[in-house]
Amino acid sequence: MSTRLFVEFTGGLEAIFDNQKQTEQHVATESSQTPQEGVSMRTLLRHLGKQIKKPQDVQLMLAGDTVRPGVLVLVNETDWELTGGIDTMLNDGDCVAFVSTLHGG
Amino acid sequence: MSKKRPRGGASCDALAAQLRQLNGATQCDDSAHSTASAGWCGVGLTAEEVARFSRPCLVKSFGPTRQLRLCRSKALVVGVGGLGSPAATYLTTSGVGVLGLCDFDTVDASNLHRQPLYKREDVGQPKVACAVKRLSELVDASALRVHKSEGCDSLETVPGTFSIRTHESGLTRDNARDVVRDYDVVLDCTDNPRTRYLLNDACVLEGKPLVYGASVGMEGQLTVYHHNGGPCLRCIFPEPLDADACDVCSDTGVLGFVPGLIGVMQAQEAIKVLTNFGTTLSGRMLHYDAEDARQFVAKLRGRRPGCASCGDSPTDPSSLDEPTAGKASAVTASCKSAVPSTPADHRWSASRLSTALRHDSRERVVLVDVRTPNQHAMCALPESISIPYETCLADSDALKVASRSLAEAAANAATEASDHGRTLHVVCYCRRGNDSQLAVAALRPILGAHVVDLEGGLNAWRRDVDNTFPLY
Repeated sequence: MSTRLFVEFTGGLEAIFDNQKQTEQHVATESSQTPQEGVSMRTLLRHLGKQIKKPQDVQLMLAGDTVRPGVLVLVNETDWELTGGIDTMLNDGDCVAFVSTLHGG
Repeated sequence: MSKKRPRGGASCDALAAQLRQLNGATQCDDSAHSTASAGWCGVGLTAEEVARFSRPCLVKSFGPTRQLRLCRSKALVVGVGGLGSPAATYLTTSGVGVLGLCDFDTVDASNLHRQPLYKREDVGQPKVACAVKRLSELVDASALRVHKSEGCDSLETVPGTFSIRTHESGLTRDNARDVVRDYDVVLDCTDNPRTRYLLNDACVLEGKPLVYGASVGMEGQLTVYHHNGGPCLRCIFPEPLDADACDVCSDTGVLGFVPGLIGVMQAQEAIKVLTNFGTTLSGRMLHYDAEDARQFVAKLRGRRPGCASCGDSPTDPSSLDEPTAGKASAVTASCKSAVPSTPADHRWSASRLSTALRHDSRERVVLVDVRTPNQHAMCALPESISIPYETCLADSDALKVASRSLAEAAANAATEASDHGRTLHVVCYCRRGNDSQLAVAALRPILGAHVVDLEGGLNAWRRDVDNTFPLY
């Protein structure tokens, strides 16, 4: 079983995913979850981490098992701090955006 | 205060009172706002202000009361560049009473495409002085007051006048609180994380709402910090990233209309904050992508009680300003970070290269431009080959694949050169002489000892050899 998610990258993060800003991800449900529960943000991050081709690019988005400071994670356009952070459960059709903070003026 | 009321006795007054009740009695309370000498009354706008601002006054939900409030408010624009130039323009034309302009920088030719406040002739001049000149042309000369000030004395808004206050030394650790103190709202139109965090902390300490705008490449972001109990910058992003980890316009580039749009929207949010109008972006962030014409407004977390800046027990502000070195390391933008020092004999000066390129030279030079293809197409040294470091040389796998044929070609070239009594040199160059060193480190193992780089890059070439080479 897998969960279908819409995952967006902005603010330069798309560069680490072949310049794709909007992607569709099919994330395998972990054995500890039932298909109805979907997948966790933690699982999605692991899933995305495996897709980063260049090892030196990993640190541009991830730090340890979470995202690096300066990257805002939005679950259905809401800051993931409000949805449960890394333990947020995602279901079919949910949209997750990784927004790198911009500083230029 | 004289009251110009039709005489007519008690019954007339009673009728008037009845009519007022009917009407909700919101307009023209002449006991409060009539102008002694004028034959008219209103919320307190001058005749000139009515003439200029009748259109916003006519907007049902905005109206003259808010316009008056705007005309008597003080807004500070920090950074008068891509964001600040449109923001300051719209704040001026919209009628803000006092406009502060804070920037230490001078106008550069590369600013002109996105900073329409400045003209070609302004290049090299201080931005703030040029901005004052331009903005002055938008208002009545008789109403204009210009204050040069570095202090924190309070400026009163005077009805019918427009004041510009200049802060030409820019925002520093020492002056930040003093600079923001006198304003009702602050616009962050700066271009680097360090100044942004400094400004955030100063605004929190002085209790000022902060309208944050940013843009790089084709994208822009906008939000309102520290307003109506909402979060501040540090609630969302507790620590500034290393400056090297942030894309900047001078490296990543920017299309002028993106900061243009964001800057205008900053003025709009500032006016909403000042006049308590509509729903601001406090607690929300607008992200705009011009390339795909997409935008979204994300709901942000609230104020964080543990926030080092606006939290319940804030950290000593003097310790907050330290840059967080090494928190995250460099990103995609190229040729800006320091690289390991390259031995002197692996580097050529611009004049050394110039000598080698002369017709009578006994040296054969192959020039390798390691900048991005866009930079190469924009301006390059004649007959240079474009081999972008980021995409071609940084990737050791691709390099390994190509190494045998490269080495062969280099050997052939060296032999051919020596047959003609010349020696071969492969000279890598970039904009500033950083990526070219990385390129030398990548190419030497394959091509051998005749690979060097141009020290100081094209900047040095322009400075020491050819001042007609474009500066960017």
